[in-house]
Amino acid sequence: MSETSLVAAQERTTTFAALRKRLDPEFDTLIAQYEDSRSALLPIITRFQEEEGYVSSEAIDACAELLQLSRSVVESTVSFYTLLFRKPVGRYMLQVCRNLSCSINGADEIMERVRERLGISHLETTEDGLFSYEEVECLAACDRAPCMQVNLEFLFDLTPERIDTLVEQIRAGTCTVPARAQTQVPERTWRLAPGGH
Amino acid sequence: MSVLMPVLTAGIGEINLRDIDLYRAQGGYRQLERALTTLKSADVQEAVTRSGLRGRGGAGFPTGKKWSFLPNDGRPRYMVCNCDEAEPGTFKDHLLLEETPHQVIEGILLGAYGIGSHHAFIYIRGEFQRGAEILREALEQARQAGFVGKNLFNTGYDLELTIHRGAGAYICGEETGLLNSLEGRRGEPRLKPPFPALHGLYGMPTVVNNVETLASIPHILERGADWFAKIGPVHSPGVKIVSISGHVRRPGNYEVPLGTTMRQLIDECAGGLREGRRFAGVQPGGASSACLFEEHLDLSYDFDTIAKAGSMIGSGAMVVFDDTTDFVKAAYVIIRFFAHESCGQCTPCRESGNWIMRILRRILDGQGRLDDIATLRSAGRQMTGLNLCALGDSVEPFLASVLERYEEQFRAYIIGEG
Repeated sequence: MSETSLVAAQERTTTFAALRKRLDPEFDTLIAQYEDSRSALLPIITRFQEEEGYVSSEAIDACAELLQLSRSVVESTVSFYTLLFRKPVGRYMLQVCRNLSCSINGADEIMERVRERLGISHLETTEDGLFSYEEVECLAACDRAPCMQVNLEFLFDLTPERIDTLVEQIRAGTCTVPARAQTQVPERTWRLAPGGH
Repeated sequence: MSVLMPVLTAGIGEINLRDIDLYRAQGGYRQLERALTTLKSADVQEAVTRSGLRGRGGAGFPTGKKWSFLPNDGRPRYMVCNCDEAEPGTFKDHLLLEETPHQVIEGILLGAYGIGSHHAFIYIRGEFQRGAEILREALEQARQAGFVGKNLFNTGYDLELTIHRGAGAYICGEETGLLNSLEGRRGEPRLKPPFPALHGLYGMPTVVNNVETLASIPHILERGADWFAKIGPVHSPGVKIVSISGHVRRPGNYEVPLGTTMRQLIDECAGGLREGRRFAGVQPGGASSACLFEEHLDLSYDFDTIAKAGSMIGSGAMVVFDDTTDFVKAAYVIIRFFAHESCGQCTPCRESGNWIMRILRRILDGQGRLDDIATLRSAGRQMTGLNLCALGDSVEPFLASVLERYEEQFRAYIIGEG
């Protein structure tokens, strides 16, 4: 290991240890809610993701240690859920619904406009790390189709023009939806393996 | 006269029911107090059974009967409220969660008391971040008021309610997938039997009920089981929130007596089709349900009638299609959904969903072959009944029904006129 990467690794260890120390009391409360501590797996991982922007390997290790599970069990469980990102993503996660009620009410146009404005496709992140984009299944807001979520906040009755405004606001830093945490620079995609639809 | 009959949705949009004082001013938490202080658990269960209430999450199983399967063996019992609403076209629990969180809480607590449980859970899909926050605030208010926690109403009865958020997976709406997820596992459905009533959360007797099901209980106790049982068809009684979307003028949630016709729901509630459009079909109960057509519109919207017509009311999600609908595309969207959401445990579901999706994609891309139509017909059938849960069986109905009615749309793509 080069000297620079060694320093970076040490820094990372220190930062994560501080985070862990800050979150541990919360984790105690979370674990105490359940008859079996393993039930706290998703809540703990979700908290780490909120803080770090993605589920880091350190978070997997910490969760395994807290719940006395093997690392592979935590890793496998995390991989099951689409809202858990095992690799870094953008500060704004745009999730546009592609299911039926949205689809027959113009979702294709919305998705096309997002892709065009951001220059990325489904499951990708812009080079500046600002946007990630995913086409998702039904968000249970079909009366206001087409709809999407931005960092889990709903936007309804979408039009291509609304997408233009949203992208401009995010770029200008005037979007009212808070940005996600971002502790690492994201790559082009957060997929672990090729494939998926 | 309007066909609407707001019970669970009463007051939404008029009163801020997230405020515990305003909810209580409408009679809120009175049934919880009455049940805890004057009724036995068995009395609550008896009322639910007598009301004829059937599960509002999709399967329509009689709620009282589901509760009655719990063994009397002294083990702890759990009540789990399913708020993983993700059946495409369904958006009623989303509304109840955000607009009437106290009604949801009271329903869960009454359900828990009805089965003699001291710890209840609500599993909320990860996307409902705002709903979860609203419920968390409401739960805090309810705790301050002494409705949750230790020694409720000085009766010595302890009852805790834990909010648990999912993290993105449709299959966690399946009750055993939900229980695995709640236990911190992959949300893969379990082999049944044993059913959750015998071996549920942490291996203990467990009931999983939908949000709307549980939220009905305060009203059943307040107005009486007979009141509920007398609304609508004898074997499918009560009020139901129907989520109507698609090609209608006023999409939304409409609470009506079961037994209202689909025509009334579409025309009187949702304002009918848009100007100059003609009706082409309706998916009456979410993505898993077969499409119904013009000749079915005067059927009574209830569990049994729609099942007899070859479809289902499921969670009460009607998606309406007008004559601009591309049914090949619609079928593709539905199949892609099931392929995406298959947990992968069972080979027929995992493989066939993807296979059918690829055939439909090829047809849409103008690369279809005429024998694809026969393949589509048989592929769906071949995966039915071979899987641990109902997801695999849900792939076929919509595709089969639109292929039957609109085969010419599929052919047009294949022979190059699509």
